[in-house]
Amino acid sequence: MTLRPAHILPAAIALALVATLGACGGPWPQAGTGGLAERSALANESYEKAAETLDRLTVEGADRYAAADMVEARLLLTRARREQAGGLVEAATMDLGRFNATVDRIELRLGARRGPTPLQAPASQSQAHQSQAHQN
Amino acid sequence: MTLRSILLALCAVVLFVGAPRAADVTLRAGDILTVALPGEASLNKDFPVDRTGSIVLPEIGAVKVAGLELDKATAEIRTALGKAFRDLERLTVVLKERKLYVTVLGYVKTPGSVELPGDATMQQAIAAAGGLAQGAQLDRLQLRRGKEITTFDYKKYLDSGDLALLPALQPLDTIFVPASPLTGNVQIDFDGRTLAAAGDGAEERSSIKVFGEVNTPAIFAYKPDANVIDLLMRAGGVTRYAAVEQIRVINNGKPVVFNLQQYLDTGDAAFLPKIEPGSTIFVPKQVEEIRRGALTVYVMGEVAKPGAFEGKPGASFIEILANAGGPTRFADTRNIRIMHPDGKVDIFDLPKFTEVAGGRLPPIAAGDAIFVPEKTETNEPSWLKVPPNRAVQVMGAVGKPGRYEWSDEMSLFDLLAAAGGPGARADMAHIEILKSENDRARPIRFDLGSFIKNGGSMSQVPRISAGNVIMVPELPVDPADNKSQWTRQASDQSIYVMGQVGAPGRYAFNTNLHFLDIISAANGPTATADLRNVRVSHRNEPGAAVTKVNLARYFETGDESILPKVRPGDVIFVPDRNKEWLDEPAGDTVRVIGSVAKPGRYRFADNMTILDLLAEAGGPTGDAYQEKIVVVNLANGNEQARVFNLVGFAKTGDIKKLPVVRAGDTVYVPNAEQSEWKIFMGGVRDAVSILSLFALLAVR
Repeated sequence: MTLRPAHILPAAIALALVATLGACGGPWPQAGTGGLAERSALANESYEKAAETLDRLTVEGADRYAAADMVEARLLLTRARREQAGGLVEAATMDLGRFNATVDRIELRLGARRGPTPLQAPASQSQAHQSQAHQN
Repeated sequence: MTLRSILLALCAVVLFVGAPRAADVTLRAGDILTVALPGEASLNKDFPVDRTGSIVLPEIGAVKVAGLELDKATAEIRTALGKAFRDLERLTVVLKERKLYVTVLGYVKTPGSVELPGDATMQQAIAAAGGLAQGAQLDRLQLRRGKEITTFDYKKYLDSGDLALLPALQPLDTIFVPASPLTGNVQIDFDGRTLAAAGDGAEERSSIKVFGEVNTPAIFAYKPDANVIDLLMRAGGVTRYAAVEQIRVINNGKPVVFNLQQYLDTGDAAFLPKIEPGSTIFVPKQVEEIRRGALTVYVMGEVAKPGAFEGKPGASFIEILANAGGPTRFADTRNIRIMHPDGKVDIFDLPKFTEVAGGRLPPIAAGDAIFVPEKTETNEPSWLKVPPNRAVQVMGAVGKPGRYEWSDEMSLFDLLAAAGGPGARADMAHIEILKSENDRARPIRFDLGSFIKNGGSMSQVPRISAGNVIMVPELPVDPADNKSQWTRQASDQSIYVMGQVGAPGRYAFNTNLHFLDIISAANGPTATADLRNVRVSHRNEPGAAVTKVNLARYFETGDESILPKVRPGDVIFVPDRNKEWLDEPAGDTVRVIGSVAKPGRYRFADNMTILDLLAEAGGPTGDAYQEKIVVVNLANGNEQARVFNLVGFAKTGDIKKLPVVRAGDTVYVPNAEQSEWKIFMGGVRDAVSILSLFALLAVR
């Protein structure tokens, strides 16, 4: 069998196209994101609350009396936010749980410093006292 | 008879009596003769008989007359004068006067020859020689006459005035006054009173020795008529301490007791013992008489007035002790002993009775003896003075280790204070008390340091009893210095520090110390220490327990809660930062591979980004495909891959383009050969080659 030029050229072009197009649409994953998500706006109510909690603890002096846990909590929140933004939702949920546990520990330490919360007198007794005061 | 005749008769009598009678007088040296021859001027004068017994006549010379009676002497003189004178009928020789020539030698003030009246006595002779000198032996004077020596007692004459006691003097006698032996062999000026006070006993054999409780003990010369009273008075009398009922008089080696009191009470001379030459009189010191009675209680030892006391029934111990003047400052009042007649002995602690309410005084009965011993010297005590049942031993690191007297009302603190307190190297957390009961020793450990620091009930302090041994151990020295010291340390009191610290080793540790104490004791971490990965192995807890300590975070935050609680027996390991990669857990690092300067595993913190990681890895190489850096997320269950366009990020600075990286992930920086353009161009080259091949085939 002999090849005719009319037959060869289309076949060569087809092969060249196959070889050229083989380089297009390679196996690269999609672009990543969330690597510095803590600097972006919060997109989740849970993280918003978590940040508020950290702010409150800071005001209450947690940076002085539970400094290491506060560092740990900030790192965990950062990590969770990054994971959430980066599509690692399960990991973010787990790290948020660890964050909450750390916050609980901080709360305990601050609570121990504050001492027991004073007991509130029952409303009925308070009212009775007030009424007695008015009568006197 | 007329008045004239009476006066003539009286004159004759006077002349007869006044002049020595010629008939019975024998001439001697010292006599003075008057030789008279009328008309001859050279003879009418006195002629003394010289020491040779001669008189010296003019023109004649010496004529010996001594020893001749006066008549014979006159005839002798007449014969001698007849050689020079013719008419001697009227010659007369008269004995005009008699004198004594004697010599006084020895202890007189001016010894030498003296001229005395013819009837002079011994005393006159001594006086003519200036009197006796001090130190003369008065009872042993000598009269020497020719070769004959006569000893006489001049003192006796002085005492009595009896001239018969003195020998009569003759011309040419020599009186010798000897020196008393008390003057010794050296000539000194001495005080006569001192000599008299020392006695006058010149001869040891016959002198009387008086000593003991007399005011001036001395040796006195024996006198036959002197009795013991005389001798005692010569010795100045007895002192107030003399036992006058017990005076001893020893005659010829046989003692006789002389009761002076009895003699003075009765005046009976029969009680006076005989005094013989060489006797000894001793007056002993008064000794308390042993008193004994039905109610007598004896108090001895260190009290002001020890003795026997007559008690009344019901008299208490304190009353009796007070009557004895009370204990002296040297008394060991903790150990007063009450000895009963049956041999039983009770010990009474007086300070304890005064300090502890509800004490009971020991009953005292007649015949009991209270002995207050001397307390142990505090300067250099002899440990033998404290019996074992009253002593405790304190050893180890205290100021004054030793054996101390003990009383049960004292505490461990009293004892340690008495022993000078724990030393600078004392391990106060591990004080050991060894209690002995029934021949078995039982150790008790007490944490004194914790008790002092934290306080607590005094019931926690071990009670010390006599016989206990208190050991205050010493902290070991630097383990790097001398390991033989710290091997004495018990394992359960040690903690182990290993790895990157200045002085790894085994350290004494107690529950009062904490993590930083022991790290500091080991000279702290070294420059290459990996502070983020310090590990503490708790060996005394059930199972295996390891605490990871991020010491760097502690230094960053100062949060003490990071520091683990360490206990004796734990092991602290400070790893090296440059450790083997196998030691690093995979989940703690990010793997950076591909086209970077330093591929490897890098520790990654959650506040870091991929940029930090690439920088740590030395950055992408020149052939890196920086537009497609791949991040593979593997941790926490999610697995995904994302790419990071470093070039694009650098151009825009869009932080949203930074991918998530966590510890445990992998970062891959591909080579530029793997870029899509390169692959496309490769495909183009391949297509051109295919087309060229087909074109060549078509031309043929």
